[in-house]
Amino acid sequence: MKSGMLHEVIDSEGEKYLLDELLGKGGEGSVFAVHGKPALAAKVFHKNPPAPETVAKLQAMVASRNPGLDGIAAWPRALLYSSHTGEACGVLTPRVRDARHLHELYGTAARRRFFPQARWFHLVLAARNVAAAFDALHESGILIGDVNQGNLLIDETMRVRFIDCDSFQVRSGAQTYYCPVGTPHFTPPELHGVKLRDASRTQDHDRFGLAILLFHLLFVGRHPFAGRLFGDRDQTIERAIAERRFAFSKDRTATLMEPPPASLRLDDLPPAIEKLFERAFRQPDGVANRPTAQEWIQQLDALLAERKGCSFDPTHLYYSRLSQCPWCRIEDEGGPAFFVLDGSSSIISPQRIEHLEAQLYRLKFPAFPQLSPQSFKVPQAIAPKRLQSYGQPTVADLAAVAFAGSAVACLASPASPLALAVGALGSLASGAALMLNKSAIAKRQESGELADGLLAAQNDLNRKSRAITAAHAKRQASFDQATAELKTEVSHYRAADGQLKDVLALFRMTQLNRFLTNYLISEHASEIPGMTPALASVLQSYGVESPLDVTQMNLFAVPMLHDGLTLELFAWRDRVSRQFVFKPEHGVNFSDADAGGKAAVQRFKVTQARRILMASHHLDSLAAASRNQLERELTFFDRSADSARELAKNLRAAQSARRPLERIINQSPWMIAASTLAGPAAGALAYWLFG
Amino acid sequence: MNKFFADSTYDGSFGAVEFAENPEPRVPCVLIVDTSTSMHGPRIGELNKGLKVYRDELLCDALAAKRVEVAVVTFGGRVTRKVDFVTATNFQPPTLEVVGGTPMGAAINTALDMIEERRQQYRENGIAYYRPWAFLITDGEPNDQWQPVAARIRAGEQRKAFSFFAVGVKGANMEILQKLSARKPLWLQGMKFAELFRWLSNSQQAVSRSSPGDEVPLVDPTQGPDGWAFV
Ligand SMILES: Nc1ncnc2c1ncn2[C@@H]1O[C@H](COP(=O)(O)OP(=O)(O)OP(=O)(O)O)[C@@H](O)[C@H]1O
Ligand SMILES: [Mg+2]
Repeated sequence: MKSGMLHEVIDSEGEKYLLDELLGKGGEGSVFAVHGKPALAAKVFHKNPPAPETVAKLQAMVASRNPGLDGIAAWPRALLYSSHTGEACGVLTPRVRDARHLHELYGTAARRRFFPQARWFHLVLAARNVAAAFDALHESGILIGDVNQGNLLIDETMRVRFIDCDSFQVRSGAQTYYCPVGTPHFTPPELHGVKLRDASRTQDHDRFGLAILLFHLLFVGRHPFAGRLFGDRDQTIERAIAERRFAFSKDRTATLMEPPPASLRLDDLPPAIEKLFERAFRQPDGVANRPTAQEWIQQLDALLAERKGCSFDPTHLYYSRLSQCPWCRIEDEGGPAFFVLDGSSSIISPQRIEHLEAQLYRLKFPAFPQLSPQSFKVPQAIAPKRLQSYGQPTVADLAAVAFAGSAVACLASPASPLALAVGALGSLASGAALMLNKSAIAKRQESGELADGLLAAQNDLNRKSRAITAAHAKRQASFDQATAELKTEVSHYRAADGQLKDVLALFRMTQLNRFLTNYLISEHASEIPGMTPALASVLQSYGVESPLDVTQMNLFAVPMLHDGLTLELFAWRDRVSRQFVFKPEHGVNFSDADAGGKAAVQRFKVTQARRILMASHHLDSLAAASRNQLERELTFFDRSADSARELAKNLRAAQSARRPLERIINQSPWMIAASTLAGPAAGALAYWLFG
Repeated sequence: MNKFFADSTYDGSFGAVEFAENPEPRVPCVLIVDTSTSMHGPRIGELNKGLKVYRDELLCDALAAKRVEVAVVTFGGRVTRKVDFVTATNFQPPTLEVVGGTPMGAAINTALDMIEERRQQYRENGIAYYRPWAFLITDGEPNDQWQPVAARIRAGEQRKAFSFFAVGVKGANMEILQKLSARKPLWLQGMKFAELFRWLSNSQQAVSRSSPGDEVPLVDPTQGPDGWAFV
């Protein structure tokens, strides 16, 4: 504003300059064209007058000007003074014409507009030239200091020139003038939090900024430290820089980041360049070994020589040793077409469509893994073996025999009541022996526990098999749905030639429904006069949740809904529907379809084909994931079944080792008690009947 | 319905293209604009002009134009997502019309939801971003529940999830704005919407050049010839 009033300035010789239109404005000054001198520009500082230190620095810079510097920078030519006060107020520099900021080359939208002819080759060339400009300055002992995307201008031939040279760090005799400013996204970790005004910069600092600039160029605008984070963290670029989290690095276990979608990958570049980037961005503290400008020039020159054109799309250029065109890969994954022909937004070569067609033709719908009921084998208890000989009879065995003997004695009761008494005593004694003897108890318990364990294991296995079957059925249902949807999409693709408009209408319908289903009454109650949260949840319980559910039929079912609210609901539904805007997913809208051009159909088909291919990948991985999941679950089941089988075996072994008589009587305390009473009771009965 | 496509491709690729074509770090700003009937006449007219000034100012700065993202939520009778987040380059200032009451609470909620959704998209697409702005302009008072929103604003400010600004046009209930906003709400001088939006654009340009996380000192809007506010 103040500078706007300042029309005339003079240099130290007293020559007058009239300021013309504003070329640009920054944090430190405004830059003007100079009237009648198209090759010059005048930067007028906001701070007026500038600090004496600034004036001294500029004087030193003017004095050190040479043709080499003029070739790569808008190097200061003279100090400018206010013609009123005679005080220094700015600096005269060459004007860089027909050039734009670097970010207007690597930014895709701006590139389409300002550099429509540019291909990746041009970006690599620009990168090479940026490195060369850094190299030239470094060779002259000058440091850039504030490396950023706005301090370099680039023209159509990819020639680069530095502007804003007054912030450079320069030496004059014993005096070093520092660079007081910095741009955080380009600042190396060791300078974070440092007061730049008093910081002596080094070439290694500049080389960090250089690598960031080069990365932006080669990766079409991506910042090396912006990527997808593992886990739910938030992180600024500065922090990522400080923690060496280079998002494209190979060492993801260290960075815990991965590159963003639809971007070039580090291994799309020659291995030598890969290494340079890793070195530049992951340099540990205390080392100063970032790649020099010279190293970059060498490798970028090599890359320029080793480029290859894509066979499908003439705008795609890439490193020739790659087996596949990375730009096609990005497009096929749903990314943008970064490079275009002649500024038109999409030109589709016939080969590209053919290639996609061929891929679609080969499209196979993956099979979903089958699950048969035979997969679940639940082990059963096995009958004990009859052994030829058993070991030494134990107390339990003797007691069991005594039991049998007592029972016989009891049954002899009609012949002699004494036998009954002896039998009853024997029965009681052997029962007590069985009940109390340690080894008898141990035998009983061992078998009992094994039997219980087996039963529990069987129940568990049955439960597991039901759960696995249910989960599998659920996965299958969603897989089947996905397959059906994919088939519909394929049919849309096929239909496009004939009825693009109908197909678009279908897409619109789908989008509208999606829009409406997500527009919940409960969240938008305030838009419906008379609606309360309580009413909204009543409606919800009757399945009326979104405008899509607002139909006569549905509302009929809701008790006590008064007519006023019903009308409001309908009015609301209409309002919400009107809010919906169709987003053409294929860059093709109804008017394109109306125009009926072949181009519209082609554009539609290419995008649709990509959608389908992507979805089919997804389907493949869904099937694969389900297969893995099922395998995991079945192995898990089998492992449980194995341990149940082990139980059954142990049970059988334990049972087989026992004499059958003991095994039957010494099953459980109940059995023993029953047997103890049964003999005498039967004897008593027999005595009463026959005695 | 068509869930599979919705999840796997449609939403994903749509965002991916947008962000791949322009991976610059973003400065998101959602304008929450009162379009109830009290805003009728010259007010809404000046506000509409202000939106155009805002766009034009942002477009003058090539870098800010790629970084500042604008969304507009209006509340007049009902809450409408008038403009979903777009970069300044693609921002078409809408022509707002007035109608109905002042559901301010719901509007703020919608705006904060939008910020949350956008943040998620940034994360998924590896886009760095600055602290989002929510900028409320009103000349009245809420006719809906606003207390829960006040709590949400306070919590969000504390987590530095966004910065919430409130500007009252003559007639606004400053007491409620005071309770809503952690920052002191400002009165608009007369109908200086153009100055307001110029200030907004300048502040966001400054932010878009700072480092995310830094507090950028904002120019005091109550001072100087370009001032537009008073307290
Ligand atoms: N020599 C020049 N020729 C043409 N345009 C120029 C020249 N120098 C500067 N400009 C334009 O003016 C703008 C501001 O210039 P410059 O970067 O020197 O100012 P600054 O105040 O130092 O900015 P910053 O604070 O961003 O470093 C530049 O972005 C550029 O568009
Ligand atoms: Mg500068």
